[in-house]
Amino acid sequence: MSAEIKLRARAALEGDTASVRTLVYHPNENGLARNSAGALIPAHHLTQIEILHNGRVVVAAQVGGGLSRDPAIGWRIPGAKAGDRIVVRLADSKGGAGMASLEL
Amino acid sequence: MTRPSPPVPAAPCRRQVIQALAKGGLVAAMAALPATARASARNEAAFSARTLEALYKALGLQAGGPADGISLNAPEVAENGANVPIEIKVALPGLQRILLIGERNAYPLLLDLAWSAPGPAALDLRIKLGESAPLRVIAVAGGKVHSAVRMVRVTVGGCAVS
Repeated sequence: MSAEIKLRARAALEGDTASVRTLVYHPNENGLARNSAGALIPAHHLTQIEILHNGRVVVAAQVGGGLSRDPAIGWRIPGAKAGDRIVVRLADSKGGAGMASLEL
Repeated sequence: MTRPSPPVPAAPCRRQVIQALAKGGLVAAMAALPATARASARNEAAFSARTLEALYKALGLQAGGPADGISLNAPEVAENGANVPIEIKVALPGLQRILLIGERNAYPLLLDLAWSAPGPAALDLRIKLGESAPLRVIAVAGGKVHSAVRMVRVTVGGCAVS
């Protein structure tokens, strides 16, 4: 069973641009940090963030372990109108996945 | 409003790819490939590259020169390298791809993003920076590679801090 990635997302229409804010609850360990006992913390980070606008992928982002812990990410997607659907999809390095679906 | 706007190019035709190949070689041809083709295959070699040399080799592109349409907003001094807020804006016609590189991070490649929305890109995010270093954003637009660089001074490094 792969874990579910928790996220909070909201989207608002500003003119013809969808302002999408995502807050992902994720440790984003890059595999380089050590715990208090001095042992390496294994890598566990987001690998992919996708944004779909009415079912079409408009952003396909590959990421490494370099995002902050619990990253807040804001996106401005042009070409949107009221009623459009925005879907955010996430995947991480341990097979976890997360999704949010929003209406503008 | 009367001007007919061309439909959003979903995938380049073979001619475009061949032209891109002829003009700019492999880099431009790769940039012309549809986003989905790239997204399906994660470039592990690029994300696990430890040096800039290895990274650019894995990406198959060069950093490119500055352009007016790219802006990178980052703090001059970041107190906590584990959480550095940055803003990227790219308003270049034919924008296809945005990359973000922390030039002295243990793993320099932070983000490799395929953009297929009809218009300029703007995003803000929070990243980790291991030490004071140039932060570079690269944009591939219309088969050309451009970049913008900001120097960020980091007080406490954020790559190997738990």
